[in-house]
Amino acid sequence: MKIMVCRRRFFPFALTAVIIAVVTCFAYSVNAQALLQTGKEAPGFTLKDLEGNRTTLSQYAQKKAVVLLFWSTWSANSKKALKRFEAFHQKYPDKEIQILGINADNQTISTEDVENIRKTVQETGITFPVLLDRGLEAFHTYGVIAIPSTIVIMEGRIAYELPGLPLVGTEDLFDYLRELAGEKPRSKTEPRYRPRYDAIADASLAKGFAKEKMNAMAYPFFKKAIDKDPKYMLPYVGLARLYEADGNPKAAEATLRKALSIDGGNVVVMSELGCLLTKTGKTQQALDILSSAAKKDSYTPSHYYYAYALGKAGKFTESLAAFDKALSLNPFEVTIYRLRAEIYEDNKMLKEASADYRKALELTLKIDPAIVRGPAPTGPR
Amino acid sequence: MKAGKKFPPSCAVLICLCFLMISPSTVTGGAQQSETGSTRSEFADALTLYREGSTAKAIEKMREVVKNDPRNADAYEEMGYILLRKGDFDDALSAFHSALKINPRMRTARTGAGLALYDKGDLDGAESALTDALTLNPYPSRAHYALGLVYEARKDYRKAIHEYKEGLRTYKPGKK
Repeated sequence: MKIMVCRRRFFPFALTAVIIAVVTCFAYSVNAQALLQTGKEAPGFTLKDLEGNRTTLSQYAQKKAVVLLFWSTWSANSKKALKRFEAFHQKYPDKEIQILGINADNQTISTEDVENIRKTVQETGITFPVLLDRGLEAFHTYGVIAIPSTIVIMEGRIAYELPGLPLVGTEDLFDYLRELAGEKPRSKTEPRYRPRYDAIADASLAKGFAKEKMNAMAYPFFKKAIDKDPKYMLPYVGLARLYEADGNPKAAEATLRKALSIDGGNVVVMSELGCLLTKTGKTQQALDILSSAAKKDSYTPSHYYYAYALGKAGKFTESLAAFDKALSLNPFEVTIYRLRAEIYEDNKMLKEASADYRKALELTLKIDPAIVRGPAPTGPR
Repeated sequence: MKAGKKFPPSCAVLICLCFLMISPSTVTGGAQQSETGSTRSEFADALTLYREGSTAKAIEKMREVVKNDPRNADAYEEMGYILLRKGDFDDALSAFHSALKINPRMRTARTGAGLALYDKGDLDGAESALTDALTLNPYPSRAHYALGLVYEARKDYRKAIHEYKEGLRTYKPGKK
């Protein structure tokens, strides 16, 4: 009996603790929906630099802003980005804006990789800290979709994100950083949109439930987030994905079209809608939307969804070229290999399809390539 | 009685959290452990060395762990994977077998043994070990992956595609 009473008394506290834990867990969970992260809590990290010294994000908490530049030695635009940020760093050394170059060369970084990175740092004359993202943990935690990518953090939250190094987008980013450094804006700019925090919290919770396949619990939170802030695009995308997963593509399409009626040029929503239309056989409509999304900027999903739509429309060569473009922006994206595998399979190219499905699974499972060398061609080694 | 009283929604949250909080190590087949504080710390040191790329030092450290704690199946299994990385397929296979002697239901060690046999070129042996691993495994993505490799090596692409797709379909984040 005593035990029962204790249990009854303890249960509300335990439940509260549990709910807080669930909310916290989901609110800080990995956000794969890149470009819609503004306003979200910036995940912490600890990474080592080239000399082996540990650096944590929290040690720069007092700075006005922290700029994370994800880059690699294999990406042509990374060197340009490094030089551009170095020039900024030299010009505003005392403006409390900390730049961190996070190298994302490979899942596992070999001694040879470290030497290449060191060489690039020397060639480009980088003086801000360069950190090694072994296992690509920061890369995945920040939902990076293209290399290079820039994320600006202020007061512990993501304030700005830019995938790639697009012409116009890059100038906008540096205008923003110059303003942070105290310079007058070059032209009168609209205040940047920031989603409401309570909408972000609801959407994060919904995403957490969706990730654990608890769809019934995810729906109401996505809908609440939309009601609270109809301009916030992430919950529309999440809700549409739920509808699609639950076999209701019509509701998914309606949700994405509603989002586009509010923010017509949103490249994330355009890409999602294009992908959905491709899957539902509306290939021409998909191609129209995706071709303009792909032209907009370096949002990697617009390129691979466009490639997929081209493949499904029977334009195989163009499809492969578009997949190559997507891979040049982000060779670590599982979806690219999955979609290309499907196109290869449609075209009866089973060897290529098999290789792409394998790559998708290797990236998903984070397989160390060194453990799967395979049998020697002439027999057992 | 109202249905809500039988199973309040808050219980669902509690159950879900319990589900979320199950760590991969608690579902790896119940490896028998006899670790002391110092071997646990040495084990952690070995894994850190491995992650930082010091493979030889990691193996040396892991050998110390199993010397001090010969019933540590996890240490044998991790040593197997480190040896695979180094390219010592025979030693890796032997380490996986040691882990399986201690805990025959340790599916990650079975998958490791399959991978070692694959790397050695013994595709039939690998297929057999990995098919076994699949029957034991509620989170079989890695076993599907390794089996896909075997079929790909045999140029049986249709079967390889099937295994890779199953691996992607059954993948659960955080589960080995």
